[in-house]
Parts: sequence; C-alpha cells; structure tokens
Amino acid sequence: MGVPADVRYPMTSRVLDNGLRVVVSPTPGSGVVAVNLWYDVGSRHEQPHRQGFAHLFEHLMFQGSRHVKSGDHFALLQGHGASLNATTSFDRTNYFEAMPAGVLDLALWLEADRMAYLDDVLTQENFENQVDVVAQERSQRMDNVPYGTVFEKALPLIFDPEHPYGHLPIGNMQHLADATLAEVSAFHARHYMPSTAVLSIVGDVEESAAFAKAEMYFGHIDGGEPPKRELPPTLPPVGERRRADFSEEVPAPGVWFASRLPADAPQSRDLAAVELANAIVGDGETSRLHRRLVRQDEVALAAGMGINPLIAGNSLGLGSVRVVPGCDVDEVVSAVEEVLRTFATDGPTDGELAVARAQAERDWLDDMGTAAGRADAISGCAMLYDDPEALNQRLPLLRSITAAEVQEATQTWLLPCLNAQVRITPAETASDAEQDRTSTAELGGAE
Amino acid sequence: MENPPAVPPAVDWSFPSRREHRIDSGLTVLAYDCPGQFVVAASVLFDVPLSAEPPDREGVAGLTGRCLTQGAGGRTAEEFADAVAVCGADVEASASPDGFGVRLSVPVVRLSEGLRLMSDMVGAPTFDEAEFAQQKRLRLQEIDQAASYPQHVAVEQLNAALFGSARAARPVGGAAETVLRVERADMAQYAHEHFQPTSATVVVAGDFAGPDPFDAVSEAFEGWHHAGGERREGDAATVAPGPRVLLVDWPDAPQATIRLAGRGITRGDPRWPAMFVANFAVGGSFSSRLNTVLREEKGVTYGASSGLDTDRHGGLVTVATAVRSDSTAEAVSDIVSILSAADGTINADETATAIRAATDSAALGFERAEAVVGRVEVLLSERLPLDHVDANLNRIRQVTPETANDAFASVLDPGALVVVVVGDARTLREPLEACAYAPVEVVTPPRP
Repeated sequence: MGVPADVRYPMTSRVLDNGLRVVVSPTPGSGVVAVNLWYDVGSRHEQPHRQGFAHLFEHLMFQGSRHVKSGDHFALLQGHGASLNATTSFDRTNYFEAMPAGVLDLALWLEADRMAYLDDVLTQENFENQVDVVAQERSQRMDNVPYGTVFEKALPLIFDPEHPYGHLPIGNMQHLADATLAEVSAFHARHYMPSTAVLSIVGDVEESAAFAKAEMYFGHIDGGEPPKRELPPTLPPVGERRRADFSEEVPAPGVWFASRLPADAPQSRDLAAVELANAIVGDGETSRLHRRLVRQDEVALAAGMGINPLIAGNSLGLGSVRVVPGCDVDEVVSAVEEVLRTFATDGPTDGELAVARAQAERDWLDDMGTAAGRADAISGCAMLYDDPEALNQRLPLLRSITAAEVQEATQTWLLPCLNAQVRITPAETASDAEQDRTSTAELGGAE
Repeated sequence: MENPPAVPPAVDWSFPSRREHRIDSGLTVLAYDCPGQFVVAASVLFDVPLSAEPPDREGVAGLTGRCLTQGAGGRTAEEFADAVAVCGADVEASASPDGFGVRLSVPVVRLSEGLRLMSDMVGAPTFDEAEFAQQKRLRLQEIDQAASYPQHVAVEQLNAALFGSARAARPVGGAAETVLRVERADMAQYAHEHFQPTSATVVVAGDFAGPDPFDAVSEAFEGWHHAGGERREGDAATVAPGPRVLLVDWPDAPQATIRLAGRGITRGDPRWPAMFVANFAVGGSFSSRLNTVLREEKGVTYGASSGLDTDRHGGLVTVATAVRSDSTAEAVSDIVSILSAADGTINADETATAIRAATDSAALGFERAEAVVGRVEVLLSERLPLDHVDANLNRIRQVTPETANDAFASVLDPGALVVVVVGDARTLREPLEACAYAPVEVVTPPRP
C-alpha cells in the first residue's frame, strides 16, 4: 500500500525577465509533451456591458496572429497529431495542447506569436464570424438543452450583478454583437502579456531544454504592466430565503441549491472540508442525498452536489435534484433539508470520510494520469496560488481534514444552500411557458 | 521568428505490449503495462451480441448491467457500493452491440480488492428483487427523460430509419415497451446463459511495476467456474439506404440538430485505412472541409464533424452538427455538396496531414490505461487481431490520395443518405423541401 500517497510530480519554476512564469515537469521517455498557458483573465474581469468578452476573445486567439494565418493554429498542430483547445472560466482563460515530443517547438512558437502579436491580422469578418459561432455555442450547450440555463438563473440569487461572479463566462450575446474590433485590441493589450501568464511544459522534455525553449520563443516579448489583482472580500452564506421559479419545456421538475462557499486559496482547509462534506452529501451512489431521495424515498431521478472552486472571495456551490414527475417538490426539498440538518448535527461517519478521501484520491490520480492533466493542474496552482508545488499537497491536505472540520463546514457553508433555490417545472403548454419567461425577466431585473 | 520551427519526424510508437495468460477455468487474461498509470483500468468482456436478448425482452442486457452494481458477493446494494467506494474504485457494466462489458477503475495499490469486487459482480451478483424493480423504474424514467434531448432524439430516429427491424434500430438499453416486460427471472437467466469464463476475456492496463496483474486476476477469479448456455452469434444489420429526410418536429427550437448517415465499413475492411484518411479530410478534424465551411466561413454552427462508426459486421459514415435554425436547409445542402465534392478531390496535402495526424497522435491517444483497455475491447468485440492498432497505423502510412479517393467513392454514396433534422417543422419544412434531396417526412415525437 501507499503508492498513491507517495506519488509526487517533480517540477521546477523560473520567471523570465519579462515576467513570464515558467514551470517544467519532465517525464522522460513518455513520447508526449503538454503545453499549458493560463492567463489571469476570465469573465470576472469583464466590463458590465461586455459580458462574455473574455470567452469571445479566446475564440479570436485561433483566428491568426502576425505570422500565423487564420485557422493555422489548429491545422498545424492537429496535423502533427496534437490535441488542443482553450477554455474560459470565471477566473482564467487557458490554452493547451498535448502532442508528440517533437512538436514542442511549434506549439511554443504558435503560443508566443499570439501572445505578442494577436491583433495585427484580425479582420472584422473573422471577428463577426466568431460572434456568430459563440452564439451557436450558447444555443447548443444551453438554450437547446433542458435545464441548460439553470446556472445562469442561480447566479443572481447568490451574487449581485456587479459581483465578479454575477454573470456566466458564456455571457450576453447582445453585448458581444455590440462589441467592436477596437475593443479586442484593447483587451489583448490589457490582459495578454508575459506577466499575466503561466506557461507549463510537462512531459518528455529535459528540464534545461524546456527552459531554453521558453526563453527562446517568449523571452523577446515585452513584459507589459499587468492589471493589479483585486479580490473582493468573502461574502457570508446567503442568510435569507431567495427563490426563483420557472416553467419551461423540461421533462421533470428540478430544484437547484446555490451557495457561496469559501474561496479557493493555497492550502485552504475550509474549502477542503467543504469538498469532503459535499462529496459525502452529494457525490455518487454512496452519498446521503442519493440514498435518501433516489433509493429510499424514490422521489428523485438523480441528486447531487457540485463545487466550482474560485478565488475572488467565494467559490460556488450548486446542488441539484431532478424530481420524479408527480412527486411534490416541496416535500422533496424538505427531505433535502432533513438530510443536510442530520449531517450537520451528526457529522460524517468514519466510513463516509474514508470513502470521500479514497474517491478524491482516485480522481486526483486519474487527473494526473496524462501530461495534459498535470500541465493544467500546475498552471492552475501557479496562477491561483503562486505555488505550483501545491499540486503535490492536494492529497496530504485532504487526508489531514478531520471529521470535526467536515461537520463545521457543513454547518457553516453547506446548510445555507437551502436558502437560494431555483425551481424549474414542466410547462403545461407553449403559451404558459412564454408567460413564465416574462416573469423570469422581471425577477432578474429586480435582483 | 517569422516562420514556424521545423518539426522532426515523430519517434516510432507502438501499442503497449500485451502479455497473455489463461486461467484453468478457461478465462483469458490480457495485461498491458502502462508506466505512470496509477489508476488501473480493467474490463471483463463477454462475447455476447446484443441480439441475443429475447426480442420481446429487449433491455434485459442493460438492466443486467445496472443490477450487477447493485449488490454482489453476498452484499446488499449499499454494502457493495460502500465496498467499491472505500477502495477508491468505480465499477460499471453495460451492453454494446457485440459484447457485454464489466468495467473497473481502481488505484493500482488496491488492484486486488478491486478485482475481487469485479469477480463478485460477474460470478455472484445478488440480483435482489427490490433492487431490480428500482433499476427497471430508473431505466423507464431515463427513457422518458431522454425524449426531451434533441441530440438523443436525432440519433434514435436515425437508427430507426437506418436499421429497420434489426436490433440496432432500437435503443441499446431497450425501449419502454420491452423493458416493461422484463422480469428479474429474465435477468438471472440472461446472466446464467452468457456470463461464463470460456466466453470472457479480462483486460487490464496500468503501472504494474509493483503488483503482478496475472496473480491478482487469477486470485480474484479462481472460484469462478460456470458452464452456461451455448455461445450466440450476432446478425449483420443491413443499412436501409436513403435518400430520406426526416424532420422531427421540435416547436420553437432555437437551433436545428442535424444527423446524417450512410453505409460505411468495418475496421477490418481493406479500405479502412484509406477511408480513415478521407474522413479526416472531409470531417474528421477541426480544419476539415465540413467544419471550415459551416463554422469558420459561415458561422452557423459551433462545430460540424463526420465520423466512422463500426461494429463487428458493418459500419456507418455519420455527420453531426447543430446549426442556427434559419440556416438549416442551407447547411444540409452544404453537407451533401461537401460529401459529393470529396469524390476524387482529396489532395496530397490533405492525405499527408491525415496520415501524420493519425500516426503521430497515437502515443497521446493511448496515454491512459482506460484508452488502452477501451481499444482492446473494440478489437475483441469486432474480432480483429490484437495487433490491429500497429498494423492499421502501418497501413495508414501507405495511403495515397488515389486510394483515399477510391475508398471514399466506393464506400459512401452521397445520394443515399438518411438525414435527420430535429427542429421547428413549421419553419423548416419548406426550405428542406426546396433542397430537393428527398421528400421531407415530418415526424412528431412523443414528448413527456
């Protein structure tokens, strides 16, 4: 026993003269290398009238730069066997590729070119095209999917509209349609520079060679003046009942519980305790919610709790119960409350704590099983905590959390999730649904 | 630096080497060493086709899969779930067209415990009556729920149109009508007939620097002896050719969900490597013709792609996208035009790129133990040689523009596709008729 406890990923960090943080973690002989860039910009940095801009901008990063034709970023890398993409979240935007070891130089050159010279080649046509693509992305992921917009509906219950997490990264399609090419240049100038980025190089490359390549491709880029990181204070859990009800074309009623949780921070015992509590209550077939609602009472099709760890004051929690059609939603919510209150009173059993730790351990080992997974985690730890080594502290931290801490986290942070509820019930007819959508808008405006 | 740095030829790669072992009971074990993979993937794959289900009890295989995780080795459902979870494992069991798989994911230090739990699932499932009733209820509710998801409905309609009366025409987990008829005894009978060591292969992959996987598997499965019914062979499903256009009415849909398919080939077909190359160029990559036109030029979709689906007896060429509603008919015409225009036009650049992408991405594609086991499952299910991955990559290296064009032309008939559109029939019917690909058949799906 004990191998997972001993699994550590060695890494070395340096800062280039221009401020670019570079972390290298070699795994010789694997044949694969991963490059991962996190930029310190996400939807929380957006202006109120440009919600969704950080994500739109991420799309534009694939539309060519000074020495790269539009579309070539994907074509060149995929043509050499790479897997690549980018994602935008509340806190950050990341760009990543994993590839055969020999493709490393090409990947670094492409990333450096768009970090330094994105807006030389961007055309109005490419810009408008990607505004259209993002609108279809939103349709496909959210608007044309039952319950697809629930996260968007839950946010106003726990954050004011001007809070950094008051809106989703996908944003507002009208804001994007109103944006201009000039704003793209300004955004690049403000947020994309060596000193706002972390570059991780992980896999089959020698440490000294990796640092030399980072210097060769990125060292010449002007460091720039990074915006100061300003984080709002931690908000306490929501203290009074807030509810938003909707009637839509969905196959079963659903209830969501939104919560403000402790912010993600280096070695945060608070968040780690919440994570374990959350898993015991709402992750998988051994969880208390599943056993009570799906198995025992047979009133839910599914029940679970999720966490989105974030740094600006609070993380986000979202629990959900898909209710069996015909069952009384109020009664289901009462059962959820009973489960949470019992857990808050009694705390976890030894068995539950062991399960939560063991499952977190497998998840971590699984995430670390690819060069791409390790590179992403390293960039995250370096960007959010200024400590890439925090990656190797994850399991020791989870193992050190006590039952008492889990119980306290439940009382302080999880229980209040009952206060912010979104309910969606199936619309009887199309015209009913439209009427309810109108009242929805009013509710959103009143927040 | 103005020009991209040169990329050296990729280092040779081969599929992880296989070690094979047979246990006295007749069980075959295949082990793959994957250094650095501290989460082991393991599967027990039974050689039983989905068509072995009694026709009036379709869904029994899927329900058996669900119930295998609901108690085994003398444990109740909750005891079993706790035992799995506390060793950091995850288990799953499900049927596919050519086989039935029981799957385990577990940290390598708890491999023995994980394998024993898996052995209990296949050799000593509890099959409690109340748990069966609950899983049947959940499956029926799942069927109900799925009917509200346009992507799901599109695929179901496509399969129904393509495969007529064959098993492949209906959901793998069974439709409500037949699931309702399945009883606990049917499930027990199914497991008794089909779960036997002589028709099973255990596949394990992971970092085995510590434990010996054969010892662990032998020890876990040593008590499993069973002589069940005789082995069944699946039938080849014939693909009913189009052209057909099915418009599934989805009032007020903000987007149209589109699926197209035509007859394809098996992975064992001599044209497979060339067809793979052709498909990469046409729709199998981000920079493919389909995605370039529909996303990067027209901006009517988040993505459009084509793929090659296979089972033991045949295959499909498929196209999937979701587009802005008012561009639906144009998108369907574009897709058909792109597929038609591909005939004879796949060029040297596209061929070279596809070959390099396929061969150079292999190390990456099989980095995870789970991916290795997953591919071996496909090879076993489709009865392909276990050295198929390397052999296929070598054949892909030999593909030329001529062979790619020949394969595409001989496999895909762009005039005989089945097109399914899930969208608002009120606004889409007329423009789709105007495409003149085929008469539009409007389908009104039952929605809960």
